[in-house]
Amino acid sequence: MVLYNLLMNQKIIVVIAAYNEEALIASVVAGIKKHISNVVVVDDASGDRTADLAKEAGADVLEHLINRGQGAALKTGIDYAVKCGADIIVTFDADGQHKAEEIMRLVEPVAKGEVDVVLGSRFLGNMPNNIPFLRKMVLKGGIWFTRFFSRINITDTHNGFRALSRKAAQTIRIKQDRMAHASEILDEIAYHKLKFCEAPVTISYTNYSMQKGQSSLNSIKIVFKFILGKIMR
Amino acid sequence: MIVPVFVTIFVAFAVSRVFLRFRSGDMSLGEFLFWLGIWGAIEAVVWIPKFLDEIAHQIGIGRGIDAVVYGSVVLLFYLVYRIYVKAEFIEHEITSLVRKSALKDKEK
Repeated sequence: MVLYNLLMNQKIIVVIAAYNEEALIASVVAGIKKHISNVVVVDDASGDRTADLAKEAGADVLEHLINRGQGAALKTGIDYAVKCGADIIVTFDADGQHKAEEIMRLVEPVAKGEVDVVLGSRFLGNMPNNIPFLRKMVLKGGIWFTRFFSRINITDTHNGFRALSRKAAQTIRIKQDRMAHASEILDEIAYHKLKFCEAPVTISYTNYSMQKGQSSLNSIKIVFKFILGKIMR
Repeated sequence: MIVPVFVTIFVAFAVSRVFLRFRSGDMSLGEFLFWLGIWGAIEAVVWIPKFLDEIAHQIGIGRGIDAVVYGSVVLLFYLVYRIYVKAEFIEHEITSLVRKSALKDKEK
């Protein structure tokens, strides 16, 4: 009951970056709205009906004129959420990989003021048994890479399901427009010494999400972009 | 004798373009002097090939042509880096514009 009151007094906004997600965006938004009323979808210049369907499902939609990448779209959504007075901002994937019913559990440590950031981890709690082998290897590689470069010790480095306090959202600077933003966020957490914790989340690996997701080979490009971004910081 | 003459004609053309850009204010004095130096050096090498060998010798490289190749590789790497930095900057500027436009549309 105390937690319920605590959460009710906080303005929580869920931010989704979407690009050509007309197949699932309406159901993803509808699923979230059962738990959180404020959903912001940033349509990253989709060529399909993503923006219209998200609006019809009840989301607040911002539209990029041209495609700028997931990092850029998330930053637009986070900036907008901060402007709208959000106390807690949740980043959520558009491809149906995340479970909306886990949002409340994810935001709990931020709402209680225990941490600034909660990072979702697929490797805590009930491990999914259908993670493709190559993806698992890449994710494990990402953990070592992050430990080495950002000096931050976590179990899942590329999970888009996170909760940020207002302070964290204003502090973290996302400069990487494309996929390297995930590593950059961790780097920023370490750099600004933000308090964080991990929480177990479920990732559904469906044919659709695997098709929409990053190819494992793309991780080489992400590493390259991240290191260059760090050098030029 | 034909090659130095052709190179000189080309250099004269290039220097005239550099001068015109400087005069119209599209180029700073520093850039103007930089390009003048580059083209002047090319002229010197074409007309006095021994000049290059002497420079190479001074910096501990056997042949003049080797010094040109080494110098070119270093210069190309530097230029690629500069272009990369510039491209990244432009990318960020574009993203910033797109973001501002998206946020502004929302205010309406």
